[in-house]
Amino acid sequence: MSVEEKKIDVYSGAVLDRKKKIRIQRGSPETGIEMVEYDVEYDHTEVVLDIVHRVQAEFAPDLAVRWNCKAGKCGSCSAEINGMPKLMCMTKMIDYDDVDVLEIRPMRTFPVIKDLVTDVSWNFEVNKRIKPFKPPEGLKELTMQQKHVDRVQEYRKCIECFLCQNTCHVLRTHQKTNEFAGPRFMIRLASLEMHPMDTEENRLKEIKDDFGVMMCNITRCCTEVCPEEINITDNGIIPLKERVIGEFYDPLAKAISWVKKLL
Amino acid sequence: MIELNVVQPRTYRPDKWWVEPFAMALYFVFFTIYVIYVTLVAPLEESIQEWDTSSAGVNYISPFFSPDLKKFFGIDTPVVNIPGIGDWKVSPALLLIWAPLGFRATCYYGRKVIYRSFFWSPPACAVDGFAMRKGKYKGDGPGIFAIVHLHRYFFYLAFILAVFHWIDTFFAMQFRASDGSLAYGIGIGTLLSALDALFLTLYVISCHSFRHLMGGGANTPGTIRYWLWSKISKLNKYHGLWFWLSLFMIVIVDVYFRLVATGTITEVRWLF
Amino acid sequence: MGYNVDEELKKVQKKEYDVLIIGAGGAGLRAAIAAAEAGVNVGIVTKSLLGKAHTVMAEGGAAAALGNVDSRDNWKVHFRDTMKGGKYHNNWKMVEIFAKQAPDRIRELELYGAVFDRTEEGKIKQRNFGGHKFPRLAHVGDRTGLEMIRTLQDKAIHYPTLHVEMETTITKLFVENGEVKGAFGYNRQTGNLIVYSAKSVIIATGGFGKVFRVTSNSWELTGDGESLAYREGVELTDMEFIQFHPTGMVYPNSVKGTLVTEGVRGEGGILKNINGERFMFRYIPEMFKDDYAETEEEAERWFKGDPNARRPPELLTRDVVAKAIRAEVKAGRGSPHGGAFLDIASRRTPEEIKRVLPSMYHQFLKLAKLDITKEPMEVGPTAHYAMGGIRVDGETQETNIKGIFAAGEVSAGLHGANRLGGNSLTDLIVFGKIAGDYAAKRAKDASLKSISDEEIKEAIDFTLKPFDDSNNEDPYQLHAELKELMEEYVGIVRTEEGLKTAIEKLKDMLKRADKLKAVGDTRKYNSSWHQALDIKNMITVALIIATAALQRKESRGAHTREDFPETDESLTNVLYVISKGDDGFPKVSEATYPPMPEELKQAMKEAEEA
Repeated sequence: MSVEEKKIDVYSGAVLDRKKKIRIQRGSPETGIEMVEYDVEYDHTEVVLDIVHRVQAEFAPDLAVRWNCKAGKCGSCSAEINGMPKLMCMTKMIDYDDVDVLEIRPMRTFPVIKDLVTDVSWNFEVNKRIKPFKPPEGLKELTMQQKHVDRVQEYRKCIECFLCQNTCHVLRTHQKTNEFAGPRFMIRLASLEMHPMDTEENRLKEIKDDFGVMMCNITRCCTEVCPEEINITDNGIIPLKERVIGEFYDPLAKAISWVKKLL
Repeated sequence: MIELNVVQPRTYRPDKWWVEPFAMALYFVFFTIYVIYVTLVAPLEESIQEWDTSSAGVNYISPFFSPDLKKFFGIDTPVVNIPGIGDWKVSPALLLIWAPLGFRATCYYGRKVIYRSFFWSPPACAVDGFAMRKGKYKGDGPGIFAIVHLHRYFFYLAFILAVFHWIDTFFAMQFRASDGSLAYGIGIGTLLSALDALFLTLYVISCHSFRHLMGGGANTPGTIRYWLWSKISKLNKYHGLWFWLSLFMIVIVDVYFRLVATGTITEVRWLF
Repeated sequence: MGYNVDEELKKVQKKEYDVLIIGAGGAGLRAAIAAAEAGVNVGIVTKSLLGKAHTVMAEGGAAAALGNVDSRDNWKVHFRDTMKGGKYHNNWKMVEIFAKQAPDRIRELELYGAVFDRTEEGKIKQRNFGGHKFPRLAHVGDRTGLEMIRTLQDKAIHYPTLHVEMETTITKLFVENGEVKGAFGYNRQTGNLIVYSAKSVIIATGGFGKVFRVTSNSWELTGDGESLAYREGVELTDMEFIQFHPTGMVYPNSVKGTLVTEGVRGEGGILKNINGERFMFRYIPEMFKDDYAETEEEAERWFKGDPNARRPPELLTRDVVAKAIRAEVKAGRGSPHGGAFLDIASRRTPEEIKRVLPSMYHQFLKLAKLDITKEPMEVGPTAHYAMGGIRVDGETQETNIKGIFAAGEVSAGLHGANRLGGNSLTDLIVFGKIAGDYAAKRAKDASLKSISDEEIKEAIDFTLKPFDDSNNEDPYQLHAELKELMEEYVGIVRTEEGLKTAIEKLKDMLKRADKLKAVGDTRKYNSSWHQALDIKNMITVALIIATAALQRKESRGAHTREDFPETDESLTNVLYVISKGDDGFPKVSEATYPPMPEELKQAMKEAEEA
């Protein structure tokens, strides 16, 4: 395409040099759900969220989509792109050059509100059940070593996109929302359980009984879809499981701690 | 406009998501058959004690038979009399195999392979498994699956095994000259044995349970525990890689030793 | 689709709170915590989900004179740095409160569960930033904002008297006799309309970067708080001061404007032009001459830790760096995509870069396929922050309307003519708390007032207007026009002629905004409706910006006039206060701060010598 022929998008200034069929899941449970197809022109440097915005601007102004920062920092624009759970703002169109059709659907685990927007309120309810950080009483300032908080800082990178919650088969396929808090809250719990200055007692028991850490069967999809590349399984869930096992299932560990107490 | 099915399909992924679980399953099936061959079929024809001191003049021992029960513990291979069939010499491999298999089956990486490839729970990310009856999924335990909680005990055993694999590598440097005297050197088998020991060691010490015991369990581990924990953490990132490398190696070494022992191939070796 | 106001009136939901907080970013959440601690019933309303507010985008850190890294630091130096950075146009009362309370607010965050990076002694680590004399920014890698919002969010949800209403937009405030009595809004998920009765209202809605095309801001920053307040007679000020962050991504197109943290320069990154020249040495303004290195050699010594060397000029205040980059590009020495090169690769090891700037590394690798540990980044100015906003009392954060408080980016005064990096996160928690405290205090004394059906009907009509079938303006088109206009006439450098043109066009756009059309057959999560209402706010704010910018006949901090390139000392203490005129358009009046007391002048002097 020559320079003169370059098509510029007035809304974003993008150079529209490619074209693709985009199918977006539209509608709500009340109105019925369907896939709607749009022929969209785009700039090859754009991300999927740009395309959704172009669909809004050109074809469907009422298309519902959640997004905020468009830089992979807020975790709002989670969706399933050609079946894979991803952040739309961090998924480049160039990655789909060799597929003919791009299908965008809302996260499947959560009830659809409308179009690409789902009701993720369950997650916020789970978070409320987690006891907050409890510092030692009377302290005005915390002293902690960097090496001891590295782990906690990794868990705290979470942007709450809920892609892990969406992908985890315990929630997605088996719908065990009463028994299992999901990977996102496993690492939230890990960030509290492993906090060097947390004094809240009985976290492990709650992690086992109330939040269901043992519901996870370590198939690692949460880690695979995490856009922040938090190693949820190896660094979060498994260490929690090991602590729970040490506390509740391992007779040898029990014996050792019993002997220690005696001494 | 395309109507959406009322029932959601297993997945909307158009890519070849089934390749990985299928490939892993394939190797597991092969490995299982091989294990059955080694533990039940092969020893009926030739016992391990014979071929490790065979005409090939080597002191190699297949990882399946390590540690050598007779050499280190003085345990003779039991003979079981099966009425109607006769005496059955139980393979030492059969006596040993449960420990490494138990370690791998309860391994936090191995379980991914098993659950994805065999239970399809789930076969791949964002792909539904077999249509299990709703509400039946229970995660780790109770019941038979609670065995995974024993992983750390299997780790203790696997750790001992790994030590013996290094001892085996040491003995694999011993060769018997034609006059029967001992000589030292390195053969291809020695190298393979060393690789086997190395991968097994990496696999064992990158274990999540070991990581937990060596500092992961503490919020403010001391200097030594922290050092150990951080090193193990680095290895742990590649736990899956070590898992596969050691699992391949065990078969490669066994096959190679069999070929040497039966004289099918002549080994290249350098004697000091 | 049409609508019937009387029918809607019957369906309107009614809710009551002691304190209603609009916006759940850092300031809103901190205010909510303060009010809930005071024991009153708090409602906090947010346009998006909890924890997604623009605060998560803050990267570099939160400034507070903890003195953990350099013990010479104290509140007086922070006071001076902030005043100097704001070109002495700041509300000194606010700056004093800010500099004194900042350390406590930061330490308090750790007690709530935040985990900042640590020094060797295990204290909160602090990093260098533009305009701050000493390492002062408490940080967590380059995701400090996320840490702050998550901490406040997790703290807030456990108060039984604190209610979070997510995905709810406020469209109108109810004010009677100079006193607030409630607000009106709609829930995005259901499309339901809601009337809130409240004794105090805290506006914490942030800024309005979305009026520009190249911006680091998210969709939410549409100037809702400013225009809500303005429409009900609340005074705004300093609206001409809009900070353009010097380092936004310029390529690829799709992410143009996305922020590259100042932390890159704080950690040693340098700016170069296409010729490889470290050009910032040529742009050190007179007032900063004493604090910044004149040669690369001296800057290098500072980088290596020599306490006697002066800071490299890359760490000048944002207004200076942004204008320098713009000048280089204008002179034809820009990078291929019209920016400057920001180089950290040649300064730090790949491991260090990945550790201290993980999300920058990630952002560039993912979006621009560029490895910042190997190659320099291309950066250019991007609309970033509004120094101006709602005029508040320095001590209580209350506005000229009783019961309306403002905190955070939406309020004006703390940052003067230019904000120092790192001061905004601290602003949120210092003034968020103060606003929460005073709003709760007022709520304890005041009583709920009734809101009449007539007032509610007016609000319904305003909110549902886009569904009027006679409307024909496309919101996406109008937004595109607005952004172009603002970029061209009200951007980094302004002229009288341009501003006048902009004002005329904006007045016309404001009329067109009444005709904005929402499509679709449901109010449930209808983006065109949301967009239509947001754009009305954006145009209102844009008009206010242009009006204020036309009034300020000087160049100061973030406000640069081509026709008045010099700073006019007589205007240092002059504020242009904007309120709604009788003709419906903004009118300007002048105001001044009281003179700074002797003790603060003394503090400045001491800081200067430190």
